[in-house]
Amino acid sequence: MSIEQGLSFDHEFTLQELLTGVNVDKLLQALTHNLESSVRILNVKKQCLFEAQLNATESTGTVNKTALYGELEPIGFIEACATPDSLQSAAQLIQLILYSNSRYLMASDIHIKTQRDDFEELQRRHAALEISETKYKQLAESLDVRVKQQIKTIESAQLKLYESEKLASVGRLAAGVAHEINNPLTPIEMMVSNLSRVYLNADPKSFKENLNETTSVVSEEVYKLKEMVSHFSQFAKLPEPVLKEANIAEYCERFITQHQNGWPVVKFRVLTENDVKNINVKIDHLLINQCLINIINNAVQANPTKDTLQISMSLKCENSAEISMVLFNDGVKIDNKTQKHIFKMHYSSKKSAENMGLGLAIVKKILLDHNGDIICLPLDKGAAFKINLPISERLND
Amino acid sequence: MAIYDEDNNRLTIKLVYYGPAMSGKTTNLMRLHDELNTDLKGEIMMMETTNDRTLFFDLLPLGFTTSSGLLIKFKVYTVPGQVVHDSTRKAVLSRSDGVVFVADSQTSQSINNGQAFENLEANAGRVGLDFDHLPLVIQYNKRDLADIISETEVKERWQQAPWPVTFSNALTGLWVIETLKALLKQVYDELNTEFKFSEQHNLTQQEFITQLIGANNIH
Amino acid sequence: MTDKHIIVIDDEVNICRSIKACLLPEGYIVSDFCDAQLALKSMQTHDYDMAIIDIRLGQQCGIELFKQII
Repeated sequence: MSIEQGLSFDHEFTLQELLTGVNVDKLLQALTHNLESSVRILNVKKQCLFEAQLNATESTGTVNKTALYGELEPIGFIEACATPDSLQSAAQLIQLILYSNSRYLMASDIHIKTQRDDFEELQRRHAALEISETKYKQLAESLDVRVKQQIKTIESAQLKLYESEKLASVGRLAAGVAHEINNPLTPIEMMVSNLSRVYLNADPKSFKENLNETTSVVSEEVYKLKEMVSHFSQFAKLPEPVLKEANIAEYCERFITQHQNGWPVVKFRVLTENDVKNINVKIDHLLINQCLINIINNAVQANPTKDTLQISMSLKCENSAEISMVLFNDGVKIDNKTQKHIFKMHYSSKKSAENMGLGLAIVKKILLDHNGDIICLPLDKGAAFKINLPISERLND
Repeated sequence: MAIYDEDNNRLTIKLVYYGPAMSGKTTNLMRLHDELNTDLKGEIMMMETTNDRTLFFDLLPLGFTTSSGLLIKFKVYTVPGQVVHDSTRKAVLSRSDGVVFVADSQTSQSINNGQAFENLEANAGRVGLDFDHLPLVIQYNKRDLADIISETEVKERWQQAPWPVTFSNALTGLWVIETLKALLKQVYDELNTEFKFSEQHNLTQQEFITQLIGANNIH
Repeated sequence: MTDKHIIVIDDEVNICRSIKACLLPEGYIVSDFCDAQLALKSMQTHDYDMAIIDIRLGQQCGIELFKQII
């Protein structure tokens, strides 16, 4: 195709080109037969392109030539021993063939050109898309790297915060412990050091009274010290939870039945929403019991003057992964200042509403070990804690 | 871009009839084929589908020889109007020396006309034609139909444009030749500088047009 | 044997007892209170020669109590 040589589809075709694909032998055969002569086909420069002999003998008569026309001008000649009229009609026939062929050649050239152009356009767009895609891939990768870095930074910051918080907790605990241990030691020391002085200076009756008094004070204070040690041990010895499945609603009912007698002043109520009735959680019964005991003990101790303390346990599905249990009592409220620190480890033996000791720190630790959590709910009347526990599976109805 | 063949002392000029589908480009060409009396007039080559829609192009070759012996050959093409044939339109438009934009006067075709004209401008750029200097005539065809845009409105719309606007009915031949004449005027002016028609070939604009149209068509 | 009367005020009962146990052998009369209000009431009816007051008395402030006594 001429298009391959860089020629336009509408360039001037030569006679040679216009005969592409035409069976020239057959054509010449027909021509020689019709014109009864040997025939020569010449190009526009009158050079011979094709020729055919009729038979071995040379024909006689004048050789005539007539032009073959392309679009408007001659593009070649046909030469034979024939009359001008016969040659003319032969030329007409040949021109019809050439015309027909030129249609095909032009159409195919333009077709190839358009195919090529379309393909180039396609490739260009494809290349642009690839560049775009690469850019976005790189962007995504760099974003990914940055996000990962951010996560690392945040994690390390969180870790630092956690560590410093832990240290602070331990510091507070140690300070509290030191202070508290000191308290019982003062009266013990006073009584004991006074004892020998009385023995030496006073009458036996006074000494006996003093001895009784000393024994009484020392035992009481030693008892307090032992209580402290026991609480610390409890916190230090907290075991890893051994999880067993339990229906949360049934568990709560059972707990109340088992422990009601320990708190005669408490009136318990369990409220379950429908969606939580069939929910199971995985819990260590003993540890969760301890949590509830600590919380309820706090409530009872904080309300020593109440005849009846109403405690309700409200159960519901928090979301598809957790249940929540809200423990509410209608006693004194927990003031805002206390709420902030309520789960932190601090210890005090003074019996007043703020001093919960290690009890709630223990509760928090147990629940975190269960992949749950506990928060103190801010209320104007009464006090409430919300416990979250992960759902293990849903029983089908 | 007119091509001068030194060996054969032949200048080939390419004119293209462009426009939306079915606006009357092929009809214009058929009318020219029937009515022009150019010295050299070839067969009109039409390549259409079975529904008479132009597939590749139509081609009408015309020509005359100047007194100086220069053969000036005109190849007049139409392009296929359907949107899908855009690559073909680009190939045909490539290296043209003048364009007749055939618009369909029917009000329903207003958007198609606009899109086709935008397409002409865009493709001219793509094939390297200087649209600002390209000889161009706008022909509003099918003036015989009902529901057509009025002449006043057309003139208003094209007021700011530098191109002449004609109103035609290609079926009857009304203003078909006149449109071509309007284009030839611009083509002569554009090519005269390079090919020195008046200087070297003793060919005025009037003669240029007359020779192409043919003796009997002078009004 | 003296008859000086001392009042001891501390909210820790065993601290009161310890102080009392130290002072009694010296011959003093000691009255101890864990509650500031009760101590004040007692001071209205009794005459004390000395008061030993814990600075932090649970809910109440020992210094305040001191001011009230004066």
